[in-house]
Amino acid sequence: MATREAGKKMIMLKSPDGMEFEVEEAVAMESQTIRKMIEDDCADTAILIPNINSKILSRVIEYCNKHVPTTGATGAAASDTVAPAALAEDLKIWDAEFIKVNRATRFDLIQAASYLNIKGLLDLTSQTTIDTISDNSLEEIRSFLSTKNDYLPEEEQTIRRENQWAFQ
Amino acid sequence: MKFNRGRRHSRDSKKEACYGEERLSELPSDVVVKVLETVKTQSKKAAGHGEERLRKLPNDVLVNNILETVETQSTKTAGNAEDRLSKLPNDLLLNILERVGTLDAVRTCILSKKMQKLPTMLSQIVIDLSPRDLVQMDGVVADVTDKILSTRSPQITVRKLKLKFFLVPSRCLSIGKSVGLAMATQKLDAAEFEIMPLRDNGCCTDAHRLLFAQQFNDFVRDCPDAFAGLTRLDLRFLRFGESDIPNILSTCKQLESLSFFECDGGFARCCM
Repeated sequence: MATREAGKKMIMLKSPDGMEFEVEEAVAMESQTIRKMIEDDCADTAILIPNINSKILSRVIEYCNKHVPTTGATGAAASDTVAPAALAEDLKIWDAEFIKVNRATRFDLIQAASYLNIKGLLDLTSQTTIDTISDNSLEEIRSFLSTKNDYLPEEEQTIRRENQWAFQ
Repeated sequence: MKFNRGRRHSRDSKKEACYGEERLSELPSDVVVKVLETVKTQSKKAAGHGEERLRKLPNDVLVNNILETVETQSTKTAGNAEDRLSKLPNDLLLNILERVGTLDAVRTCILSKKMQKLPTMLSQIVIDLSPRDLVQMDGVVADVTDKILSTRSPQITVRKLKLKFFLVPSRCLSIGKSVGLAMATQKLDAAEFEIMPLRDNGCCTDAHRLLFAQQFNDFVRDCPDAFAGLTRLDLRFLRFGESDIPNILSTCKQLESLSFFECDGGFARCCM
């Protein structure tokens, strides 16, 4: 957990399973949803984040911590010396590691990113999900995405007949 | 990997136990029981070794590979009960699906009944195949375009429609009619056609260019509704007559970008 530094406002995020996370306001404001709450003065010292359990919330905070722009008064010295392209490359590598999670966690992250309105995280999780699609057979895609086949046998036959190209 | 080896050991020892059983069957039963017990312990040991090895693996390998396998297995045994993808709300599913070409999106949506109606809600329709894929799928482009455009709900604006197809009169006509109808009944922000001749550069003679231009002119004449709403048009290997280009420009009222590749007016070639 980040140590409290002078001049940095901290925000408490609470998950519904009772965990509390103290984060810098700037980090929390990576989420447009939280930013709006703070800007509208709807946020007290603690914000309850519904529907996102502590396991997922901690991953989301980890993402925001990494992605918060480091242009503030403190910590700027380090990033000033690094070229923006190198910084972006570093973030990309970090993202690729970050998203190496099982499917259930990824789907939870998609929903969390959507609710909290964190565009970068939503892009990352959605893109990773769809990347499994091209060049794979339908059955492979089905297992990657853990999508249940809910057709009756005769329905499936009709689908196959009408969309032969998709099964080649 | 190592996990598997542990398992294989135990399977092998089971096999041995089976072969052994045949020969042992003539021995008194108490002896047989003793022998079989030894075999069982051995196989347990082998499995145990496997576990030992597991523990030595770095944590991330464990988590990513093995837990993933366990997850797959448990999903399988639960009869795929946990269908996470189609449980996502539609707007999130559409956000995911619009990151790939429309054909891939449609293909994915065939996976389940719940997702099947999603293609009609896409706000981006992009069918942009490589020429090689297009040769095999040309008919599919016309069919899917028609299906998607004719079944979609008119409330959802198409932010972008981009179609790449061959200049084959019957297919063009089908695409032109579907798009024309969609333009009349729905809201389209941008519509792009990229029209390719069936022949590549190497074997495209002047006669071909003349024929292609004739086919293209017929296409424009037969589907004025579609062309009237086009915002971008990409043409290749056509030899136009004098009035053809003015005619195209007057039909395509919304056109913002027109590009020619290896097209000419019979005298000088223009490449843009």
